[in-house]
Order: sequence, then structure tokens, then C-alpha cells
Amino acid sequence: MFNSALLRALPAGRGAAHIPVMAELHIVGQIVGASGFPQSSLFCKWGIHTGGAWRLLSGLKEGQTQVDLPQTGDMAYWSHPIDLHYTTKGLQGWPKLHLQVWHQDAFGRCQLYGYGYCHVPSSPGHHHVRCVTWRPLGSWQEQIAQIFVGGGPQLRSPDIIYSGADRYRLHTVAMGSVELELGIIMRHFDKYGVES
Amino acid sequence: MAELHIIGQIVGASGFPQSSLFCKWGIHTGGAWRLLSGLKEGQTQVDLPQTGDTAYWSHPIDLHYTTKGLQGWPKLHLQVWHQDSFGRCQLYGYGYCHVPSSPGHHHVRCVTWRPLGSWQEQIAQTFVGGGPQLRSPDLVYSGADRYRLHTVAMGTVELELGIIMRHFDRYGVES
Repeated sequence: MFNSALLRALPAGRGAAHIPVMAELHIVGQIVGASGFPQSSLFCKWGIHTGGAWRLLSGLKEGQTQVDLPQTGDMAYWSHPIDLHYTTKGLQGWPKLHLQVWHQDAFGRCQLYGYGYCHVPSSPGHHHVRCVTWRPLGSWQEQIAQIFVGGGPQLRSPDIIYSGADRYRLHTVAMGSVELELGIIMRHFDKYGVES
Repeated sequence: MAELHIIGQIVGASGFPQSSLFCKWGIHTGGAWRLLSGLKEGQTQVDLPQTGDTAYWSHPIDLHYTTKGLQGWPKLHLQVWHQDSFGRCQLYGYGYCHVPSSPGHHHVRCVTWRPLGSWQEQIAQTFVGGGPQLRSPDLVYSGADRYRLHTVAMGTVELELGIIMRHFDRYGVES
């Protein structure tokens, strides 16, 4: 349906485009894996949040990886593909990738291990991104309970992961990091004066 | 039409529990891409490292694609298998990586994972080998319905890919 809008070769030598083309952004890559967490058997829920001017043309903008158990070494490998095609009329609300790393134990219970977020890189090319994570810390009673039975506090709304408001109330503890490899392809951004 | 050349090799694999490995690979693209020349899937030889841990294949990849759109950028998916002395093949890992999207020489490390069955299947696998495999290999490079899987991280496959892009700037793609 969008094939005619995807590629239209502008003839060389003409002036400013009289055909209004919208800027397009391709995010191709993968969530490689995670390391530095206290236990293995991890999975990751991820999503991409954009502003109002961005429209998703193809691809899934949120998902959940498989549960991975590293046998040798510390790093859990997911190799979860990310393949997104956005079109936009403005630069506000540049895509942000937010993640929640969870731990699933042998009984099937899930425990939150960290929230993390990173901006999608804004220059074309291949980028290796390390996304650090943090976990909310409760009161000392909750911490002692957490050692024995697991669980722990979670955020009511995951918006705080990628927005800066009201964060000063949180006490958090740093957890491991998630590695991503993202390839960014930008199209028609120079028609709007964006330099690269 | 924009053209993409992928010139490189699958160098080898390391970090797997046993040697004597071979790799089945393929490239998956979207509907707008057309393959002009080259083989888009193949299988390497079985390699036994004598010294050290890395199995070297040096399997050539030489592809020429032409495209009308950027959707469905080529993805390279791999399956690493182990062949024992009796000739039986056992799956050692699935992995995938996107073909790099900027021109130049890239050294890509592709990590692999293997599906993990129930504990009965794991004990059987210790004695007789085998193990669960995916019904359809599409799950390796698509993100849907992955949350049901329990997997185990295996070794990594190393690739060296040179990317040559042609006429992409006529379509407004910056690089």
C-alpha cells in the first residue's frame, strides 16, 4: 500500500522538492542479550515510544523475548529482531526504546530485575548500544522480605522509565546492562534541513 | 533502482561445547528486494579444530540485490549443527543478524541460542543427544510469539561482511 511512497527518485538538478515527501526512519537491529544480573534465566519486555508526529508504517513496536539460560558465562543471549519503519513530520518525540528485564525462576514465577531505556541513535549507520538498568528499592522491611520470598516493588506506570518527571522520589539500585545492535537508515531528512 | 552488494565470508564459530560443527545459513528479505546474482542460502563444510576452540569455515557470501524499498532489509539467519563421529547431526544453535546498513567493512559477531526442553528432555539429551528444534525457522528472525520459548545461550559465529551500496542517495537515503 505504501510502495509508491517508499521510493520516488527525484530528478537530479531540480530545485527544492515540489513533491511533499515525508522523512522516514528505518530501525533494523536486534536486542543481543543481557549481562551483569544476579541470576540468569532472564527475559526482556521492550517497546518503542514516539511522539505524536511519528507514524509506524511496518514492524512491531513492542514485544517480549524468550527466556534464556546461559550455560557458560554470564551473558543471556536473546538475538531478538527489531525491524521498524517510521515516517514523521517533525523531530519532536524522537523514538525511545524502553526495556524491562525480568527473571523467571524454576517454578515459573516472574520477578522484575530492571527497567532501562535508551534513545534510538540519531545518526545513520551501525551502532552498538549498551542500555543500563535499575530496579526500585523498597523500605528495609521490603528488602528483607525480598531476600526470602522474592518479588519487590514495581512501578505503577512504566512511563517513568522514559520521562523525567517526578523521578526524584525514587530510590533505586543499579542492575546489569542490556546490549543492542541497531542499524539506522534515514531518508529525506536533508529535505527538511536536518544536517548529518 | 538501488543496489546492494554483500561481499564477505562466514569466518567460523567458537564457544560451543563440542567441535565438529557446520552451519546452515540463509538470507531473508522483504518483498521489494530482488536477488540478481549469488546464492542466498547454503551450508558450510564440517570443521574439526585441532588446536584451539574456533571452527573455521571461511564460507564465501557474494550477493547482489536490487530493491525498490527499504522495508525488509536483508537478515542473515544461521543454524549451527554438530556432527559426531557416527554421522548423526544435532542442533547447536540458532542465530541471526541484520546485514549492516552502512557501506564499508564490518566484523559481525552473531550470538546463538538453543531451545531448552523440559527436564526429562534435558536428561535424555545428556545421554542420547538430540533435543528440541523449532518447527519453522521463521522464529529465528521474527519477533512474534517468542515469549513462549526457554532457550540456552550457546557460542558465537563470526562473519566479515563488506557492504557496497549504489544509488541509495538518489532516493534520499543518507549515509
